[in-house]
Parts: sequence; C-alpha cells; structure tokens
Amino acid sequence: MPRDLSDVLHFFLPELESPPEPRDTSTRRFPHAGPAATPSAPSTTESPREALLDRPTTAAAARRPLSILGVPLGERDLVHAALTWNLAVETARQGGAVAIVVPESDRDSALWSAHAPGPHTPEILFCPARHAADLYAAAGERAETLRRSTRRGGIVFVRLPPEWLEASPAAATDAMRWILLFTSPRREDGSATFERVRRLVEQRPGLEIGVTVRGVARIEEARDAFDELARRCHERLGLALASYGLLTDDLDVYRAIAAGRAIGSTHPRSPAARALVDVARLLYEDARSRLLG
Amino acid sequence: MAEPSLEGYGDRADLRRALAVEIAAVRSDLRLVAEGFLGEESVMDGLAVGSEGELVSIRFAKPADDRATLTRALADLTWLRARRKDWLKLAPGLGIDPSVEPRAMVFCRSFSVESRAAVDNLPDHTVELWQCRGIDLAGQRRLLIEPVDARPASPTRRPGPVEAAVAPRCPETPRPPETRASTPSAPASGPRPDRPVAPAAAERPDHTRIARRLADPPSGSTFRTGLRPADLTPAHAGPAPTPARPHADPAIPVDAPPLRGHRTEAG
Repeated sequence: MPRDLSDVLHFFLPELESPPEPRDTSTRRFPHAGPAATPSAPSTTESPREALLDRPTTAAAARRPLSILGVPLGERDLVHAALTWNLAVETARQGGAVAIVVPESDRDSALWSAHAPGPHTPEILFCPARHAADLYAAAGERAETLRRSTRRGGIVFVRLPPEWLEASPAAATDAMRWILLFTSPRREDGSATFERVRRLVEQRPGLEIGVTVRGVARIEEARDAFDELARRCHERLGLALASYGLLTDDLDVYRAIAAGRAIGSTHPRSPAARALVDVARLLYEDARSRLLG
Repeated sequence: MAEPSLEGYGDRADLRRALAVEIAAVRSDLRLVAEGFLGEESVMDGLAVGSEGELVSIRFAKPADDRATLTRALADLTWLRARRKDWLKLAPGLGIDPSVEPRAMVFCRSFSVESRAAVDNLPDHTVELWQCRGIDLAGQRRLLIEPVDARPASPTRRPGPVEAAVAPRCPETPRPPETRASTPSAPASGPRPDRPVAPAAAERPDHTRIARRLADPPSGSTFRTGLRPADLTPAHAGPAPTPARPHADPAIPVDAPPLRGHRTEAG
C-alpha cells in the first residue's frame, strides 16, 4: 500500500524528464531504426516501473539540466562533508545522477580523500575556482553533461566555502538558487544557522534554503528544532524554510566516516542509514520537482 | 466541618481526593500524577496524563466561580504547553508526549451559559466541563460527576461554515417568500410531499460537530520526514564491543584512525 505521495511520484515525473538513450546498438548508430527499437517499446524483462521511466518525454523538460544544490561547508567540516558525500551516494542508489563539485584546494584536504570507491560512489570534481561563481559554472556544465546521460534526474552538489558565500557579489552567483544547511537541536547551532540564513537571504533574496537537523535521537527532537528555526525565519525574514528531514549521530556514522565507506553500505539497517535514505529521498524528490519548473 | 461551597467536604484536600477517586472510576484513561499543583499563579486541583500522553489540568470551581476557573484552566493550557518537553526529560516514566496538546477538565456544580458558550468555541476535548455534586450515600460523602455538553441550546449560536453551507438544503429550513410563491403546490407549512420527511433532531447529521472539527488548529509544523519512531531504534542490539577489539564492525580496520580532532562547524 502506498505510504505517501513519494511512493507514486515516479508515475508522474518521468514524462517530464529527458528522453531516454536508445539501448540497442543498432539504434545508437541509426537513430531512425524500426519501431521495435524505439524507446517507447520497453523490453519484456523490464519492470513496470522501468518501463514507465523509459517513456519518451517532452522536449521542453529535456532541456532542463540537473538541479544544483549548494552546501556551505568549512574546510575542516569533516562530518558534514562526509554526510554530504553519503547523501550523494544514497541519491545515486535511488537512481539519480550525482556529482560533487568542490574547489581545487580540497584536493589536499581530508574532506573528500578518505572515501573508498564503490558502485554508487559519486564523482568528485575538483574545480580551479576562486569564487562561488566559478564553482557554479563548473557545476552547471556538469549538470548539463549528466542531463544527457540520465533519465531520472539527479543532483549536483557544490561544496561552498562559507567565506566565498559571503564575499561573492550576488550578480556573479545567479545560478545559486538552492542551498542545504545542516543544523542541530542545540540552541547555539540553531542561532548560528539562523544567522547564516539571514545573511544569505539579505544577499540573495529568493534563495531556496532547506535544513537538515542532525545529531538527533528522536523525531520530535528534530521537529522541534526545525520548527523553532522555521518560525524565526518566517517571522523575521519572511522566508519559508524547507525541511530535509533529520540525521542521527550514532556511532555507526563515525565508524563509517572513519572507514571512508558509505553508511548505507556498512550499516544498512542502522538508524543512521535509514535517516540518510530518507533525507536523500526528500532532496531527490525536490530536485525532480524543480525540473517541473 | 463540611463546607457547602466545597460540596460538603471539610477542606480542599478532601475534595481533591474524592475527585481523584471519581475521575479514576469514569475516566480510566487518565492517570492522576499530582494534586494541588501550582500553575502560573494559582493551584490546579489535579494534574493528569491522558492516554495519548497529553497533560490534563483538573480544576474544581465553587458555585458561581466557574467563569474565573475556566479562565485559569485556559491559562493552564498555555502554561503546560511550555513545560511538556522539560517534564518529559525530568520524568520520562510519566509517558508525556510533548507533541500532543494539553487539555483541561473543569468541575463545578453548575456552569453558566457564558462558560458553556466559551468552551463551545474551542476544539473538541480541549476543555471539558463536568457537573459535580456532593451527596451523602450510606453515611459517606460521595461526589457525582457527569460530563456537560458545552453546546448551548440557544439558537443564537453562530453557524459554522459547513453548517451554513448545508442549512439551505435542509427541508425544514424556512425558505424566502419568493421561493415559496414559485411552488404553489407546496403547502404553506410542513414538508413538501415529494420530499422525505425531515429526520428528528437527534437523527440529523451533526454539522456543528463537523464544523468544529474543521476549526481545529492545524499543525503548524512544516518538518518533513518519512521516518517513523521505530526507524530510529537499532534493528538489532548486538553485544557491546570489548576493549580488546574496539572496532567490532568487520568493515572497519582495527587500526582505523581515532575520531578525535574532528571539528565540525555550524551550518
């Protein structure tokens, strides 16, 4: 039985995504091959869902690149970087195309170096950028490239150094529309996140900002923390904050980070893995909804 | 010495004990956790936890004091709401659910029309009015308690949106004169013969209830998650790792670097 809208969302979204790549070799060589090789004729071995995802799509939506999600992360923010990497892994596992665009200076840092390769390991692009606009330019190119090779949408994550975020002129970062922030139930973290939101909104009105509450053990804890932050943002900034669920802070998270492995791979039944899957689902659904315009 | 204003009980403490006994008899879903509990400025006669983990303020009103007591009960809701989470931490065994709104029960010999009308504006079960009367039974003082329907019988009550929308369709609703004139075959009074006879008042759908349910305050939370509370509990509780083998997970090498020094930044 469907649990919520997300369980049936895939029945509606594929029609607005990019056209599928032809599977048959002959079709690749000769695009106007016979009707048996057209994408609208799914193979009998496909599941009904696969068949739906392979339906031809509208040309208008096919021009839309993947969504770009900016994540402000400090150069020593290992835990949040690891969580971002894990979110990218889970998004890929759910069928989305993903990439992580980071500044070239991250090549020598510990933020991304410890991750072990795997089937859903996201591609990390080191970009010789000097400000946020360069990162977004690289992310936009990558989003366009991925758009051509995917039928299910996806997300290009961008690691935004906080100092770049505040220094960049607003005009240079028009591509910056969607931001993910991490916060925690601690009062000081909530205040710091609100200040960051305030600065972002003052510099770039119209920004879509979402928040994931991490370090919680209970859903109510995360809900209370988010509601308090959302209330302040609404009352003081007139901003409707988006919620991207919660992440737990149990030992499995740190074990997986230390091992450089995806949490969903090492401890798939742990609360941390379930929470990551849920947050990735929310992000992925929003990314696909953004394709709808 | 018995005091009439306390339904014949000698003092407030006796009355509270009797009230607790009677409440336990008729509302087994309530667990009384405190008597004589100081609220914002005045003392609640009782504090209970309901079946859904909601806090319930219990107040007794002397005759003709129901309006002031109702005001205090409403103030209790605000006061309790702000303390739910703290009490959950202080006393997790009470089963308080901080996400459930607190409620109040007010006991009095008789309630004024104004009190009933005031409660009628609130969502269902937010404030319950109970009639309370002390009697002598076989030489013992007892309390008789009975719930009071807060809906006043007066027709001056303002209709809710659903009630207003449905009312013109009801056969017994008076029609405008021009409408009646256009149907000369219909009798001047009584139901039209081609329509079913209006059901008795008790059988009619209670549109007032529907309207009040629609008026319940929606949850203001925009927090999203597909997780359930059970998802955040470990699927299996394995044995605690021994000090000799700190990394029980085979996926992690034993010589994995320690986690000290990982600095996180807000945001």
